[in-house]
Amino acid sequence: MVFLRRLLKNRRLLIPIVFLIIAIAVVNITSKNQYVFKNIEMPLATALSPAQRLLSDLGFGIKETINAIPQFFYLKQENEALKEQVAELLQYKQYITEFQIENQELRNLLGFRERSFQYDLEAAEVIARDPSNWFNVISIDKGERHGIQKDMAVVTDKGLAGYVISTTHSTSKVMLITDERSSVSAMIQRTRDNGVVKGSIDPAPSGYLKMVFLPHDANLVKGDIVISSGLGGLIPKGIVIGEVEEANKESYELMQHAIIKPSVDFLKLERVFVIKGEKEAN
Amino acid sequence: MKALCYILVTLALFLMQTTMLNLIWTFAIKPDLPLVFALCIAMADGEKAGAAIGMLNGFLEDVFFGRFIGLGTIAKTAAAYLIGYGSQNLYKGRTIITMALTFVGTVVFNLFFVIVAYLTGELVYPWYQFFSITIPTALLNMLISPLIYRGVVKIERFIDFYFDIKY
Repeated sequence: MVFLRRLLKNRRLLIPIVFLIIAIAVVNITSKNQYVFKNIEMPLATALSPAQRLLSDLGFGIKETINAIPQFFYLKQENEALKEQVAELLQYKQYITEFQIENQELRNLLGFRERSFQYDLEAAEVIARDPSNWFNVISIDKGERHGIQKDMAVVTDKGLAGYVISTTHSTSKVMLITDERSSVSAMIQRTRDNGVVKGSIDPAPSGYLKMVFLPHDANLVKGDIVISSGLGGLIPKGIVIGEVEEANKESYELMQHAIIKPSVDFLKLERVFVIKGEKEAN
Repeated sequence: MKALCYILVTLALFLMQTTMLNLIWTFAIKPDLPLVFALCIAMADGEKAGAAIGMLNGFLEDVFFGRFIGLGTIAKTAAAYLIGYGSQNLYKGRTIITMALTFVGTVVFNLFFVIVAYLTGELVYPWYQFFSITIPTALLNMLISPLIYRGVVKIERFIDFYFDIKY
């Protein structure tokens, strides 16, 4: 009682204690009851998203102008290189078409269901980024009214960027694969060894990923491509995640882990695609 | 009037931090403008005002990028409150003091952030990147703090001159 009376008189101490009790209660309520959190998030996100979109457009504009100045001097060289690349890619396209037909015929012979590598995509623009240096979450300008749902995969032309963690009417939060809390089922494309790709955790340096639970006898080499395995059902199979930078055996030698360099440049993420589903095969 | 003005500045800095700064700034570690603003308010106006601005800023961060409310709110409120409380008897306005307090404030913020994140299960390896994130952020925040502190003083003078002083 004496302690309580003293505490009530000492306002300097009372205010932080009351704040702490309220804060703990709020953490508990909003983390356990997503309905409450969403009801707070929805009106604020709807009110501020036009301002975010405007400012991010302005930011992109400034960035593009700054980037365009040095590029001007390399346009001719770039043009030549791109022409060569186009010719090479056209050749690849011919091969792929041949392989596709052959694959389809073989699948038909074996009685396998036809697979489609075409996705129903929704293009979106990055309108905001997590201000903290600890987590990697972005906000995109498409939400529930565009058919976006929680857990949908988010990709760029380079590969997997992350997945949707929550949606509002017109915006969505996307957790990038570099976030420490993210984990994606993956496999090494060449050896078909399965594992789980996690965000930037020990010993992966910031911006890199760590692939864990790899079999100890997996023969990994630098440059091996890592793709999503489709296990777990969140991320479709076959999306490029990155490439192996180095492989290390765990101290007890039962497992192996690899440091993965992501294929997407997360510092320059501007436009993304949300995979809403797989298109029906023809 | 002052409170309204500070709320609007916090909102503007939050929007700038999450949109323009994040898009233009292409380095992995970035300064935290709203945190520096809350720390400067704490230095200039005391711990309660600083804590209120820190709370608003942390709340916005939690709502827009978090999975629940509390992580940023607790860390930013605590950092601003402690800096305001600790700087009561210091001579305010000197650049070196502003920079030193901002550095300490950023370290305190990251410390609270990591503790709360660990307790809530948001961070599994809390200390792995603690120094590699905290020290560069604190240095960047420290560098921009004199500019933001000067801005806070100017806002205060403006409000005092036009709204609060009665002739």
